[in-house]
Amino acid sequence: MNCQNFEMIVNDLARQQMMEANARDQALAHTDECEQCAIRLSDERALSQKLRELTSEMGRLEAPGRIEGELLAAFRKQKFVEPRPSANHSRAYWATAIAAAVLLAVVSIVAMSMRPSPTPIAAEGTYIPPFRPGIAAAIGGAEAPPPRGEATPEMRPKRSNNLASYKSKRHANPSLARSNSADNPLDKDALVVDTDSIIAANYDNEIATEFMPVGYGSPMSLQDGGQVMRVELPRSALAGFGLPVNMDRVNERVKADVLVGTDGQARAIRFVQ
Amino acid sequence: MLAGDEEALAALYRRRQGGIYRFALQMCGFQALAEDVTQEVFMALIRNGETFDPTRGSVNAFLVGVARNLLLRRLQRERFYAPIDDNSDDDTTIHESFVTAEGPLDELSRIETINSVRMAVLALPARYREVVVLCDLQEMSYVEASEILSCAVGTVRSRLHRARALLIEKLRPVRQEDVAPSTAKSARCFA
Repeated sequence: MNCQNFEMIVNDLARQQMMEANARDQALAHTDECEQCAIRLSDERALSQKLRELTSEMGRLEAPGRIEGELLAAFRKQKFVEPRPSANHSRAYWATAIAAAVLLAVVSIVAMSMRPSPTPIAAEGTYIPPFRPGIAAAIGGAEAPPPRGEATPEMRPKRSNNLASYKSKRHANPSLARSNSADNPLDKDALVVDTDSIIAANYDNEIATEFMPVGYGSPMSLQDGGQVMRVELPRSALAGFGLPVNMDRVNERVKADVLVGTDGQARAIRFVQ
Repeated sequence: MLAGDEEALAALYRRRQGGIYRFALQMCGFQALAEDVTQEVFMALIRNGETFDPTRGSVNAFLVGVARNLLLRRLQRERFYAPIDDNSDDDTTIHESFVTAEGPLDELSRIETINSVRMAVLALPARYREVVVLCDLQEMSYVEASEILSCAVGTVRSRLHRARALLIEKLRPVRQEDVAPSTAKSARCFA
């Protein structure tokens, strides 16, 4: 053992801590050879002895007895005082919960009353990019949407997912901007925004697959522009993308988001639950 | 105790108050402050006992940890930096020393040594003082000390090593003065 190794264990040696017997023997043997380390160990042992004397001297000290009495008195008071704040807390909790429920109900009623029927929205209010027959063919099985104003429930665009791009488009296109003008055919834009915000609020509750490319077109991203549209498809369309189909529910419809490029072609699709 | 059992609080207090009080006194050197801290520790336990998590350490470690935090806050706020004033009880201590079995001189020497060590410990920086108090004076293991100080065991070991080296240095001049007290005084002349 050298002096550096000895220095690492000299504290434990002087404090009589548990250590490996081999290391202890080596350290003691080192003190026979090295005078400096022997003095170091001697100093450490003397310090340990002094600290032990201080410990034994102070070992009898205790807190004054009055503290226990004061603590127990405070404890009794705490027991009596405690129920009152908890009752207040409970009352406040229920009041807040009821207020929140009422507020939620009012908002829901207002939203429902302001929500127009699906067909007029699709026909007049919603910003719908050109939706060409090629889209339906590309996503496999869905029929092409009829012209504007004749949207069917099967292929009804419900929202534009990318609200930011939608709002930026509105900003860029004054005809889509919110207006109080009565003769503006897109004046129901306000209703559309409300619908979007409600759907966007529910968006976090949805589970969706990854976007899957449709057809063999060149890959694109949202940076290239485009629109995400919510549609409903026959459940059998899942099989076309290699996804399992529950045959018990084959007649039901499934929601999907279709990514439509600026050229109106469907580029990608994801299924939503 | 959390369910309102007064006897449980009393039992816990009687078992742990001595260690908490001694820890506080060894850390600050002021009896009044140590009493305040001891009381505040148990008051904190009464008010926020549910914050104790048995998976993170023992009750003792929790209580000493609370005491440490309170002490450091009070010391920082009130600047209790002066060392212990041991003149107040000198008379009684000396008086008691005359009736000990070891003889008055031995006892006086022992008391002097203890006081010098106590003052040397109090003069240490707080981060070194607390490891000396916990590991050497409270005789806790490195693991218990690391739980209280919320640091690694290796940190406790290295701080203790440094603290003991500082203590040896602080206590060394006392011994040198005993060996040659007159040489330093005679070296200077004001004539």
